[in-house]
Amino acid sequence: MITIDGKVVPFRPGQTVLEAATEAGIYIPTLCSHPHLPPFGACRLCLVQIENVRGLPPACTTPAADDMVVRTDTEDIQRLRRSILRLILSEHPNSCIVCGERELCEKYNVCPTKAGRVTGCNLCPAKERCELRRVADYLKVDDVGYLLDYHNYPLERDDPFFERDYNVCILCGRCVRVCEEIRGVGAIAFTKRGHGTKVGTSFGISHLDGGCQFCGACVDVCPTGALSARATKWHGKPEKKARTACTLCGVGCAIELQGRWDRVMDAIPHMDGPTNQGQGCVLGRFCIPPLFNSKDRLKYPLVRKEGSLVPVDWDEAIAEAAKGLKRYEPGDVDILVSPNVTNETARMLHRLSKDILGGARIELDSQFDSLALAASRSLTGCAGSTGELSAIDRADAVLVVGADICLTHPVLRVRLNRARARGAKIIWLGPTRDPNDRLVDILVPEANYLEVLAGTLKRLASSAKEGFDALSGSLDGFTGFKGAADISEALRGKRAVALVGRGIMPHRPKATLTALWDILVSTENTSGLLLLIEGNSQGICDAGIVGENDVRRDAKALYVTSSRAEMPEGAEFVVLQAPFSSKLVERADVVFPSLGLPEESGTTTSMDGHVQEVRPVSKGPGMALADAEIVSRLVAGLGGKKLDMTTAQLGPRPVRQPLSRLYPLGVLGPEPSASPAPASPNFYRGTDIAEKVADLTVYYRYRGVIP
Amino acid sequence: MRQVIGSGTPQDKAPWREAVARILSRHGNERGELIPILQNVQAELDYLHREALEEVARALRLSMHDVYGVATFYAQFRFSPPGRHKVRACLGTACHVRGGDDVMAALERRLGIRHGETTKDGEFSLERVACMGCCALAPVMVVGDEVSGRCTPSKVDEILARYGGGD
Ligand code: SF4
Ligand code: SF4
Ligand code: SF4
Ligand code: FES
Ligand code: FES
Repeated sequence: MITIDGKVVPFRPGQTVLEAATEAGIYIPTLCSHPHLPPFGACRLCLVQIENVRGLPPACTTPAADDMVVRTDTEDIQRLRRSILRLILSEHPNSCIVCGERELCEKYNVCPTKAGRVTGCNLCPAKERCELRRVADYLKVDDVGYLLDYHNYPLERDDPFFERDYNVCILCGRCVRVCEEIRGVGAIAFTKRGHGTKVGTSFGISHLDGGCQFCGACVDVCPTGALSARATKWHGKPEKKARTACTLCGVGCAIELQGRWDRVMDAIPHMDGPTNQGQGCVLGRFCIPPLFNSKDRLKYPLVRKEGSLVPVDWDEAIAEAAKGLKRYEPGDVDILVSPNVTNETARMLHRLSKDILGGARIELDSQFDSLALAASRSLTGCAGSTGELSAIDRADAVLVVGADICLTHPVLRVRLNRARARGAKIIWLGPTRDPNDRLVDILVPEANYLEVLAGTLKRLASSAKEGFDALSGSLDGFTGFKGAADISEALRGKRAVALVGRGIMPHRPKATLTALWDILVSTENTSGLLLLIEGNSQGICDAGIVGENDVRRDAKALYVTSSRAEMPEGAEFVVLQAPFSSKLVERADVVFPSLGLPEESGTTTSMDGHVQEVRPVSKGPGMALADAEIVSRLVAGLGGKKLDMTTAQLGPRPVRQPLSRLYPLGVLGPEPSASPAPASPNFYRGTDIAEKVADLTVYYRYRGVIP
Repeated sequence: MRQVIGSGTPQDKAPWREAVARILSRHGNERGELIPILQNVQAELDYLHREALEEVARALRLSMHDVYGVATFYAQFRFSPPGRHKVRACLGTACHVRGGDDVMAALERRLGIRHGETTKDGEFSLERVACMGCCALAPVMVVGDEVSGRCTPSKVDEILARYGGGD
């Protein structure tokens, strides 16, 4: 127990005085400390008085101890804090902070005024969330006492996603620390010194050029208006908030959606996500509002009449779709499930195909994800990864195979960085566009990396006690590859994690997975994680839908919930259910407009098996309906009993079997006939996200991801 | 130390790359040796350019921006090639008191660059120094080896003109 301002409060070992106070609801002003960051102790605003301790130690760096007696607000402390804050404000536009008309101005001048340059809080995008203002209010600073020294730095607005005005920066260092210590990127640093100190890049190059990954972590920790998201900076206070799970990649980060005017206005990573722990990435942080507020949303049900699509009401569209589907034998109907729909929708689609349509084929529309899930199921009896992402936190070695994580699962870099900082070895097989390759200990960027992997596995197999003879025989001839010796040494007998991505696709993916699972993942303390590309592939697979091929060439009727699918030439009747307009609309006979991520309710499952709730923050456009609702209306239209979530219950997940090592192995290595992976790494309901989000296009073009 | 198997290491063997590699290995690729490494690199290359900093950062597994941040903290490092004529203005205590700032301002205006930079034609580079050891002559400026004392803005024009600059 510790006594703070006369209140006796509990604390956990390792907590600082600041953390103990915050948990007890006692406010101590801070500017440089942040819950995501290790203590720093630079701003000195959190100074407190501790009995029997000399001077005034900072609460954010002082560990709480039993019987400590702390005072946080004596007149001495406040006076000292006030003079520190005055110095900070002497280099920060402060007219609105000390203005005598402030009270009335706040009352009547409620919206922030869009301005190029910030000369006071009323012209600042951070007005509603500024921590500097809060501290100034708490300390009742009403005159600064120094002439304002305005730096007159040029505004930095040439990079995508966020803008920088270092004239309002207070040099708290949070952005620099989060970028280096948490993200492991180090795209910004303190440059120069003394009065000229400024946060920036080397030689003042752009963030694009300097290797920034536009994760937005710096924007979210900045206590002032120095850093702000371009698309949303002037939106003011949200009216609604909802915690949901992002489905723009397989990680399933917990995010907080913010809504206003019945739209999603912003999205920020949520502190307590099991897979992301407060961090996010360019997709979840910056792409959700522009994507879902895009003008290409489908708004009305459409039915083809005399060759052209016309808007109709829901009843007519459902009836039309039901009538069309009934014309075909079950064997002629294909249902293609988007990897972004909720678990509930997937289960209902499954029921629809089996019970209502009497055995129509149902497939997951994701090449790598369905292949990897099917292969892992045949290996272990249970489709999916053999462990959770948190295994990376305990690993001594992390093996990345065929995944350009900075593009497909950017947030995982945070865990990899943490592992590296702990001393784990990061081994990276495959090309990468990550400009910050200092994350990696051993890098094999060459196209023949799978042969290096085969050589590594052969060496591991030959040295294992049990007999891998049959298996390792097929790997003969690979041991000589340069690097195989070092890599197998780094993995042998270690607690390891293998992360496998879609880069293995053109290269006999099943053989690669089998060998990797059998030889490495089967060893004790080792997990194999499938880097599922898309939002809810795992959940859809758990609902009983997983296939190995795309749409059959000979399906006559199609019901698709994803716009990417190529249409078989022979399809006579097509029902499309999607949030976005696409080329596919031209081929559809019936179009159902559905809701998107910020409008959905239900659950989704992350690539490592966490089931999370999806909650809406806005209404969809026009007459769009939730996928589950559309499916259930269609079921009724087909004459079935109306389905709801409870009738779509799922049995228990199968138990994972020990690896059997019985699978025939092809030789690993390139297989030129397989179709290449699409250039763009991120899709939602079959729509290329970069196509809809202009800033993402800029970013990916610059990195050479898309032409 | 990071290991890259296959490609990844720069193919071009520019002489400066070899010099930097030599310096790095002499210091055992130690992060703690960053300052001496940068000093040696500057001694070899005359200034720290972007590729050189990238190389140092990569070898020490630091961020290039971090290395730049450290380097810009110290006045001794420069980031543009020195000009044919090195111009230095003293801003030591004595010179400061007697108008060194005015001399510096005049130089910056006349040359069209800020201190630490080099003119586009590569003729002049401008630096600030803290005391040249001839305080009696304050304020002092130096072009190449030529020391001029009791400088004023108009004298700056005169001196620069002799070197063919300043208009
Ligand atoms: S950063 Fe904060 S204190 Fe500064 S102008 Fe903006 S709202 Fe005001
Ligand atoms: S967006 Fe991310 S990578 Fe870029 S500077 Fe900010 S924290 Fe660093
Ligand atoms: S930009 Fe923001 S976070 Fe970074 S140092 Fe300045 S005030 Fe702090
Ligand atoms: S918050 Fe403690 S020193 Fe800044
Ligand atoms: S201060 Fe300028 S020469 Fe000494």
